[in-house]
Amino acid sequence: MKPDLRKPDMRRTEFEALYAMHSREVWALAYARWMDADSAQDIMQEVFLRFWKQLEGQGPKQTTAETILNPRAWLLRVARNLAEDYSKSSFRRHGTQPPEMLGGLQGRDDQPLAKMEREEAFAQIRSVLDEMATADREILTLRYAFDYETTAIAEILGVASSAVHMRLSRARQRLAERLSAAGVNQEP
Amino acid sequence: MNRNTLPTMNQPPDELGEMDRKFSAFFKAQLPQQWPHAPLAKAEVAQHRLAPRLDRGRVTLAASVACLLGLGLALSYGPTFQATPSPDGNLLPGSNADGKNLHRHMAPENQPKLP
Repeated sequence: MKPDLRKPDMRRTEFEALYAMHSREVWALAYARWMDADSAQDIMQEVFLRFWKQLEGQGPKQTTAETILNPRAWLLRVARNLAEDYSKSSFRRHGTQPPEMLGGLQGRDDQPLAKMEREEAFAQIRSVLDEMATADREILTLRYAFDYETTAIAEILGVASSAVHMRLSRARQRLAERLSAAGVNQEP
Repeated sequence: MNRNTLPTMNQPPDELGEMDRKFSAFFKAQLPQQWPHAPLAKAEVAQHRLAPRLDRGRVTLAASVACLLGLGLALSYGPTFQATPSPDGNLLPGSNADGKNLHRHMAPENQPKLP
């Protein structure tokens, strides 16, 4: 049954349920576009704040907001748009990312040698990913960050499952070949 | 579906599995360590905290404005005090001060020398 969004409690419950269901997909699309976890998180928060405002607009006043028939589609569309805008504005402001971000290095408490190897491998993966199409990165992010099945990825991206399977296979193949050529897949 | 069920043409499964582990480690390392809460909670908490303060602030502001208006009106239309000289020429009614004997209470050295 569709929740009655005119009631504030229902709006809040609905909002939190949708956040739990779709925030990872939103994050994945933002991350795939920008390849920066922090920016992706900012974009995700902004997407859901806008979504909340839309829900508020669907309250008793019924003033400004369009009715959101498909929240997931709305969220993903806004995420893509915001990610696009964010990347443009960020590049305009900063030109590029700082070196530590280019390697995709996050703080972890590894041993120095293991950490160095890990960072090197991550930097290689990132450099390969940077050359790939956003659509491929979206699939890879959903697949490897969240372990989504092919059918789920197809549903999120609105493409056929066979297409996801093919693109995923190609993307993995390409990535594996490049990393293999760079020696990244060799065990230390 | 297991991710290892996506074989590629040119690589043995072991190598592919190793690649998958590296990809997985990379992408999972990018995820926030703790998934953030819905932004609504933050906004609502801030709103709830602000609401009583805003109400008190509004009451205080209204009271201040009312006091200022009342004071202004009282000063405009309230009792007026006019400094009119008394019929005998003194500055204050009922007094006999005329400013002529000011030097009477002064020390002798400070008293003006009259011609």
